[in-house]
Amino acid sequence: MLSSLRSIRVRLTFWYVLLLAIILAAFSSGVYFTLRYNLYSNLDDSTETRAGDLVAAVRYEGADPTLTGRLPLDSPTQGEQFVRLYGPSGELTFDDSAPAGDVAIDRQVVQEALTGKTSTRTLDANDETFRVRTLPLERQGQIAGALEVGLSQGDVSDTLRTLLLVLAVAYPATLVLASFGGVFLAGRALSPIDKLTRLARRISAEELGQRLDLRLPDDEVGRLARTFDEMIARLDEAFRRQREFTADASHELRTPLTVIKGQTEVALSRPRDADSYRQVLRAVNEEVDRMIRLVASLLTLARADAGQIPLTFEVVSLSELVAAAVEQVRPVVGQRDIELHLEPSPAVTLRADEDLLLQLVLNLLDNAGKYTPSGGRVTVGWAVVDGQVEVWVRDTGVGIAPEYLPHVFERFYRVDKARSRAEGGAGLGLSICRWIVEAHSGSISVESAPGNGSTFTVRLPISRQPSQ
Amino acid sequence: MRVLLVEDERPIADFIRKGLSEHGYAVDVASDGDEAVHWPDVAEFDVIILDVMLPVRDGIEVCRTLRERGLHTPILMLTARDAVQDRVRGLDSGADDYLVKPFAFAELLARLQALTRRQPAVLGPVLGAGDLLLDTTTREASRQGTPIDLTSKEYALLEYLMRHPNQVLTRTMIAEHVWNYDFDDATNVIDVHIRNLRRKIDDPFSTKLIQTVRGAGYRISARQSA
Repeated sequence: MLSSLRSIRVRLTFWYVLLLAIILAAFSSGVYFTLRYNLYSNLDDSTETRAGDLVAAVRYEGADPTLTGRLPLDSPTQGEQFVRLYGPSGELTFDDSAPAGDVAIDRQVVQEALTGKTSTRTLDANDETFRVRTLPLERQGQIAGALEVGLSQGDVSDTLRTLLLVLAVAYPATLVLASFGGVFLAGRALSPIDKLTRLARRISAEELGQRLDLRLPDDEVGRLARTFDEMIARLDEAFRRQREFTADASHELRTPLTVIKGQTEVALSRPRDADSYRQVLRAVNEEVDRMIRLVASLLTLARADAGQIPLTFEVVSLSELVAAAVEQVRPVVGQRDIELHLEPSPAVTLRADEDLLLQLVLNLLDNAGKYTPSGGRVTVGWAVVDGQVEVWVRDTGVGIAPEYLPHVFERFYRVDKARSRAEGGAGLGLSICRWIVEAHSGSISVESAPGNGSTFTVRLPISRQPSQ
Repeated sequence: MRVLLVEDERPIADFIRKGLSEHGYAVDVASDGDEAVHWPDVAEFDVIILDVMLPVRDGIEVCRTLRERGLHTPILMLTARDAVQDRVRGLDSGADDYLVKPFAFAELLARLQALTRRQPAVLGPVLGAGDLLLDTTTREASRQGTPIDLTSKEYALLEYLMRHPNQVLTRTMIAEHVWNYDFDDATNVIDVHIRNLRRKIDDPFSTKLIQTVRGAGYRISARQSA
C-alpha cells in the first residue's frame, strides 16, 4: 500500500479526484442555490399576483371586507393557500384557512398592514410552510382593512429536497467512478513506463547490446524510450571502446614482457658465449625501449584524458618550429635514403603550446618516414586558408586503403600490424597528434590512396594579435 | 617432437624456437594465419603453438579451421589476453590448452610435455607411485601398507600428481586442475599443501616421492632425480 502511494498512477488519480470533488462541489452548490433563489422569487411573485387578484375581488359588507366564494387558483400545482381578511380595527372578517389547519394570526403584522405597510413572511404551521403576504385594503383612499394570503411552500421545498438528495447520491458516486476511471486512464498512460522500467532493469553493463526497441508513438513516453535506447547505445560504444583499449594495452604491454622474459630465460637455461649474451641483451634493450615509448604514450593519453596536461599558450613562429622539427628528423630518415623537403611557406605566428606543437610535427614527420620506402620523399609545408593555417605532411609511402582511413587516429589502430611493430610503433602516435590538434581547437585529417602516399593535414586557428 | 609455432611477433618466435630446439624439439614457424592453416597439409606435427592475435586471420579462426578439417594435433594457444571470455573463446574453438603471455619458459615446456605425452594406458582405480598407493574409489592412501590420512585438498593434489607420474606439473597447471580456477598468486597456497602432503607421505620414509623441479613445479616419481 505504501509503495502504491509512491506510484504516479495513484497520486495522479488522487489529485484528479480531489480537483473533480472541488469543481463538482462548487457546481452543485451553484445549481442548488440558484434554483432555490429562483424558486423562492417565483413563489413571492405568485403570492403577490394572487394577493392582487384577491384585492380586486374583495367586497364589503358594511365596513367589513369579505370574499364571496372561492377564487379559482391560477394553477393547481400552486399548493395550499389560505386567505384571511381583517376589518379596519383588525378583527377577522373572512377566513378560509380551515383546510390548511389552524394558522396562527400574527397581530403585529395585521396592525402594521392596517397602517399601510405590506409585508411578506414565512410561516410554519401544521407541518406546512407558507409564504404569507399581508397587505392593506384601500377603499376610497382610506385603509379599510387588511388582506392576508398564504401560499404553500411545499412544492418548492420538495423540489429543493429532491435536488439535494440527487446531489448527495450523485456526488460521491461520480467521485468513485472518476477514481476508477482515473486509475484506469493513468495506468494506461503509464503502462509503457512500467514496461520501460522492467526492460531497463534487465540491461546490465554486460548486456549493453540489448535495446528496449519499444515501438511507441512519438509522444512523451515514446521519446523517453528512444532517448534511453540512444543512451544505452552510447554507453555500449563507450564500454566497447574501453574493453578494446584495455585488451590492446594489455597486449602491447605483455608482448615486450614476453620477449624479455622468454629471451632471458632461454639464455640463462645453459652457459653461453659472450656473443650470445650480447645478442640477448640487445634484444632485451630494444624491448625495454619499446615499453618506455609505450608507457610514455599511454601516460600522455591518460593525462590528456584526465585533463592533467596544462597547456602553455605562447606566440610561436611556425617557420622556426617546423624547421627545427625537420632538422631533428632529417638524420633519422636520411639513413633510409628518404628525402625530407621543407616547402617554402608564408611566415605565420600561432598561439600554441610550443612543445606540444613540436611533438605534433615530429610525430607526423616520424610517421611519414616510417611508411615511406627508401628513395622516397617526405614534404612538409603550410598555407593560410580561410583564417586558418593548414600544415600538411606528404609522403610517397605505401598509402592507406580507404577502409582503414577513418580509423587511423584511433588508439592502438594499426593498418599494417607487422610493419608498424617492426618500426616500434604501438599505434598511439596519431592518437596523440589528434589530441594535440584538438587541444588547440584545430582539426586533423588524412588523404591517401594505396601506393600513392598519404597527406596528413592539420588545421589550426591563426592568432590575430601576435602581440598578446 | 615436431612443433608448429604460429607467432607473428618475431622476437617471441625467435626465443621460443631457440628454447624448444635446445630441448630437442624441431620447430617450424608460421607468421600469419594463412600460413598456419597451410602448414599441417605439408607436414605432420606433434603439437601446434598458436598465437591468438595474428595478421590475416586470427588464432581462434585458425584453430576452428584446423579442427573442422579433422586435425587432432594438440593445440596450445598463446595470448596476451587473459580475460575469462578470451580463454573460453580459445578453448571453445578447439584448443587443448591456453597459456597467457608473458609466461615462464618452463611452463611452456611442461604444458607441451603434458600435451604431447602419449595417451597413457588406462589407469586402474588404484594409482601407484613406487610403494605409495592411492585408491580412487575409497579415496584411501597408503605407503608400505601404512594408511595415510589425507584432507580432501591433499587428496585432490596427490591424485593429480599421481595421474601424471614422472611429469613436471607447474604451479599454474596444479592451480587450474586442483582448484579449478587460476587464482592470483596460487603459488604460496600450493606450496603449503605440497609441504603438508610431503610431511605425510615422504617424511616418514627414506625415498622421497614428491620432487621439486626448480623454476618449474613439482612431479611425483619413484625414480630419484639427479
